[in-house]
Amino acid sequence: MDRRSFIKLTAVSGTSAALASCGNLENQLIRFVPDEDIVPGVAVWKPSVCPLCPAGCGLTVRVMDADADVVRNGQTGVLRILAAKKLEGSPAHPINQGGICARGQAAIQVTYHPDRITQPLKRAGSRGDGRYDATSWDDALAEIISRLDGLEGAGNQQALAFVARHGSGHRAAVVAQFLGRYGAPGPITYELFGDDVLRRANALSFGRDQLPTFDLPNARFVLAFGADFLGTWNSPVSQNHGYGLMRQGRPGIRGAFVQVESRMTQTGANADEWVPVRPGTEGILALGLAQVIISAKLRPADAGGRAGALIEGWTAGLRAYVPEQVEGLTGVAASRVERLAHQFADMRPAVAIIGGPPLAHTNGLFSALAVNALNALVDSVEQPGGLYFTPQLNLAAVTKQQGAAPSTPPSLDRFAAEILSAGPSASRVLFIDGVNPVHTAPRAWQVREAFEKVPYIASFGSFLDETSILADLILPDHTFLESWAEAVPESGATVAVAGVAPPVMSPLHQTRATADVLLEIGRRLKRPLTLPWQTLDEMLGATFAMLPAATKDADNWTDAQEKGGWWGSLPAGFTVAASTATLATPPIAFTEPQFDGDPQQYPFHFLPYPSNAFLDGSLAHLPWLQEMPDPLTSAMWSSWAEINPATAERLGIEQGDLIEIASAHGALRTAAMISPGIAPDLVAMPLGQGHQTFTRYASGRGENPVALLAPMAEATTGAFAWAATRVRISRVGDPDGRLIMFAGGMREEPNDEGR
Amino acid sequence: MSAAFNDFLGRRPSPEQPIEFPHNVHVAKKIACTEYCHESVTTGPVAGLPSVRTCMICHDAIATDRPRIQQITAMRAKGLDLAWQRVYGYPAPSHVKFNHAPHIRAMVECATCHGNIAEQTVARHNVDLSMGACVTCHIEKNASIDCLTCHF
Repeated sequence: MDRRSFIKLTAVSGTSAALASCGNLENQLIRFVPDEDIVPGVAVWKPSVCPLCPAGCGLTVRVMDADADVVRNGQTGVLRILAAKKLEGSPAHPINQGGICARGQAAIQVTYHPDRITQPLKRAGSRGDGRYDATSWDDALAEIISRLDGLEGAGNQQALAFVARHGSGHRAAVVAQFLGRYGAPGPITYELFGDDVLRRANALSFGRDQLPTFDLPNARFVLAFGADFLGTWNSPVSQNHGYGLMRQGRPGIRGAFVQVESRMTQTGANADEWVPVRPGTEGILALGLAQVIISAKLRPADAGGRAGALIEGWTAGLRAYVPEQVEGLTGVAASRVERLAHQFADMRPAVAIIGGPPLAHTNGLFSALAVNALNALVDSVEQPGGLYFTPQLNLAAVTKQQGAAPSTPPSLDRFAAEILSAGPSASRVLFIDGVNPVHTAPRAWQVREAFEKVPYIASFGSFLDETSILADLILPDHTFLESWAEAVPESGATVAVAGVAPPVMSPLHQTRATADVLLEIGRRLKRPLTLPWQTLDEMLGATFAMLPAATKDADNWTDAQEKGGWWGSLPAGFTVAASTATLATPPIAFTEPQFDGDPQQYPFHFLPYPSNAFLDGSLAHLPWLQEMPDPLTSAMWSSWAEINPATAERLGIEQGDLIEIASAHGALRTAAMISPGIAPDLVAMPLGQGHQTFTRYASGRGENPVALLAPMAEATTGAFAWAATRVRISRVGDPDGRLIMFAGGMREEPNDEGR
Repeated sequence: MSAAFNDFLGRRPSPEQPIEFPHNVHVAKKIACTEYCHESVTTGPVAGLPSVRTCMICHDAIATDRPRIQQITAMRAKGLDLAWQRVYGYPAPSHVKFNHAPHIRAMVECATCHGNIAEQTVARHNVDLSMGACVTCHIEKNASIDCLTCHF
């Protein structure tokens, strides 16, 4: 017997028991007649739009035949379908230009997730225990309609509340129209890492209430303040593309890049120079640079224009921000301030970017306005190599919307407080649309307690999470591959963009597109809402037919569906015009950032940051992203807290040790990650883990840093200041295996304690 | 045990079809194989297998008194399809890619691998489709025997 036969034989005898069940199992399965004509073995690529973050990247989806397990007429069997198999970036799309981030790659798992809600559910147990009974769409819709008719009968339409993510597309317009015509307030939007402070600053400085787009390919010097623009912030794929061209796209010119922050992000790790500053003093550094530029007469102060006029002392030469003063406040050496200022003014086009933690302090608006003024000073606004604002499609004008816009809703914290104080206007019916504030809002807002008091909650999400588990009725949405996908991106391109794509595949389960469900409810109410469209695609068709076509006889709507959207320049009537009105706000001056917690008792600043894999935690249910190593620490499937090596040594903490982090609002235990890229007085934790209820992959895994956060607010805008909490840390135990590293030892299944 | 042994060596059992489809009858009636039932075999890697809907295009009217036709008519009424088995049906991780289309373009007869279907009912293994069988035929027909022709 030769070696090969021997190995084959031993392998066969060893595995025969396992293999004995292999055979033509397919024979025993029931097959259903397919609904579509399918060519086996041949892939086609169809356009779509990535829904995982507001950037609105265009996708191409590889679609091939596949066998899906389905239930038809109560019988389980196999159905041959055309199934989406792989997502790639759409090469022609002006935002991502063929690129796609790791999160976008993992978006395919949303559709095939084993814990997806497959049909309407009605609560069977007590609220929050997760017991549901299956129900039919007819019964579910009848129930919702009778609830809404009941409110209307009592003249209490204001008691309908809709909680959603910040959205600017057609789907959001359907929701707003539904609420407006019914008589309810507009959707309450909440994002933990929202950019409201920057939007307000841009509205004040430039008349643009939106996030900026950076012309990185033409920039020669980029100075970023805390903005993780290559990782998670704004339009990361577009910015990565531009960044690559800035560094290597111009023969002979390599753009320089300096990152100012107190914890090194993935973006900071790419910088030529990394400048740590004290939390909350980023705006001072920006004005320090402006002061040097003005006093050295590199640029005239009046170049600051409207943005400069918003800063107190700008016209007088910013005497409060001389380099020595800046050194004392920020911790950045005066000589370095001078050098950076000269670089910034000489290596033009130069652009300053602010985002993330600097705007999450109580003085965030000041920092944003300071950076805006610095950009204006070096003439980098709406100029090549500077910052632009993506022309915004004015959906209300394009679709000729009529009827009252819904009234302005309260912020989420006010909304929760109103319910808890049980005022007469308190919400009676609550709709939740794919947002999880119970997980991401600070505990002091008592969102969970408030929602529990709402008499009736309906959720449209595809998964049970900490918020949707409070729902009385779940009306699961299609995933983006099964329904019309669309986006009207706020930033990322210098031309106007509206993404759209027809469904890539037919729905796997008994789900329905939420926009269509709302339109149907609107039609069936006792007082029908007479919305102008029957379905979302009818509305999309109406919009895209209005947009200017490339050629005279081109059919815009058909073209847009084929290439995944429309982009180009918009006629004046269809854009949101920049506001030119000068606002009567008094000039703003630096105010000390306020932090929750006594510095003696809580000596460390606490910085939660959006995880590269999960953003604010809404993607923790995708196992590919759980498996993706964090780019700076290589940790995966777990939580950790980053600590400076000097601090760790002083406190006797070693890599992987169990530590306790406590603020005045809560405490948690997690693994220590010793990281040189963090200031000695700072502790940082990624968001995303610590879910109690969020599918088999995320539940009971890691810790949620939101539990520590104090309900601090940005002083002027009222936005949640998520970086304004102080904590203390202490070592409580040896490494216990809860920290999982890519470059670590063997990974095990969770043990009995769920770790 | 013997099934496991064959499975390990990549020897697949003869397929058991849901009904014994009489190829001979259909071929005698000059029904074009690649236009109706196995479309995509000339253009793609995999031969299309007809759904019960395709059968019913003709059998709504033709031979409706035969028991097998009544059987599939009943299936269609229940929304059920025929679970055809592939004649060779190698599992995906076999590390070998077979593409029907170039073989049909090179005028390889269906019978070479699937038996003379003008004289039999269901298609059967006509050769032991091992690498040796493929390579012998490729050499005979002067086709490429580069590894990457099939293993890619």
